[in-house]
Amino acid sequence: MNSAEYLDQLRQQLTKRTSEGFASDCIRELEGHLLASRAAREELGENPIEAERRAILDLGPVRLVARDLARQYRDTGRQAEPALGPILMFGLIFAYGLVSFATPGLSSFTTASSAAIVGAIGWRTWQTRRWLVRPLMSWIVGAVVAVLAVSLFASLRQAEAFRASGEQARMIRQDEIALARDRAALAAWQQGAPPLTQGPSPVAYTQQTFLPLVPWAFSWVGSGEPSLTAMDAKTARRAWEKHGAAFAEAVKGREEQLARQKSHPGELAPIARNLVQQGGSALVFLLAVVAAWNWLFLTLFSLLDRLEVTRFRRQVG
Amino acid sequence: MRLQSDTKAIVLAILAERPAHGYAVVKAVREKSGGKLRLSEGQLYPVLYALEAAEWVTAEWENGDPESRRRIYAITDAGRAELADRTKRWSDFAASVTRLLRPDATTEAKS
Repeated sequence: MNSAEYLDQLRQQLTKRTSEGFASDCIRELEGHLLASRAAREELGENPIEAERRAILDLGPVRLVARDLARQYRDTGRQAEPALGPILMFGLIFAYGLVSFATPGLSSFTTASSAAIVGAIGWRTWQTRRWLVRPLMSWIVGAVVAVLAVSLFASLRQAEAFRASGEQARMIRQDEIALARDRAALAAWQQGAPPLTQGPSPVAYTQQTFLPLVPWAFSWVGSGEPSLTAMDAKTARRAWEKHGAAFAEAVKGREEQLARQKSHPGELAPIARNLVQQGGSALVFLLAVVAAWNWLFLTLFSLLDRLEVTRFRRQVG
Repeated sequence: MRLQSDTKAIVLAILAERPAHGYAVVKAVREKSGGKLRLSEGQLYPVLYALEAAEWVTAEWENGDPESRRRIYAITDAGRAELADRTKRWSDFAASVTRLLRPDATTEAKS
């Protein structure tokens, strides 16, 4: 490859990404650079062909030089459509979230991975030093909105199905039975009766909740909740002494909740809870996958750049 | 070992001495660093354009000829202020690292 071919390829790349005037100025300046570099080498005794080859090699691969110049062009606001990139990314991610919700069998992993791929490609395409923040912000905001929107639709649909199936009424009946049983146990304890060795006892226990979409479990310790366990009299007494007050509070809270459910069967509180749970866990998962994909893609892009330099050196040399 | 340097500050420092075109900047960096620093030539021009956009340097085609193949870059007052700021930050950073790596060097300097 000689200087003319190199500059011609560079012009083609630059014209695609920048204005004709900017490309033309760059090419003219780089032509002057190559001439100066070649002349300096010839003064040091290199033959003209070798001097030209080395001058081209020092400038670097056409695509990388063009990419850096184009980024700078965008950075300085000389491009007319600066906001298009982030908006497009936002739209793509949002649309993908909705499509994945409407498509049965498409897993959340696929959704999150695809969002990450779109983000990574967008990052690579639109990344510039000053601009880096905007695509990233729009990408994250897009992902959050998409996840919350999908979760809201899912929650509303579940709530509707829940009410329609009569499942809610059945669950309310079950809660009433359990509450009556726990209330009786509490009353017996408050009146000084010997603690039950079988049936509801207020024990501290670790509740493991597997949040949807998250490949690992979150757990926390709750206390005072009833647990249907068989235990000896001594252990049962200790459990009541230690957690009895919290158990009483829990029973009271459940009574109030049940009363609310019966008076307002379609209330939005469970839907909101479901929404927060699904949205939150999906977001955690999404961000984890995004972080992993980003690392992978950035490593890959860096590797591709190095390969391009090696290929360019072989091509010129 | 690869160390991160401040390319913009280096280019500003070269231009603070005298106006120069791109290749002259590359050559000056190589010569002044005793051949230890080499600017990536392909990345030099985006840096020069960024400096121009920030109004830290001005750029004119050589001899005012728009058909010329050389653009001469000259530092502005704002560029000199930026260079002074970056030089101070770099000196503070370098002094801190030196103190950490060679605690004896600080003692030697004091005595």
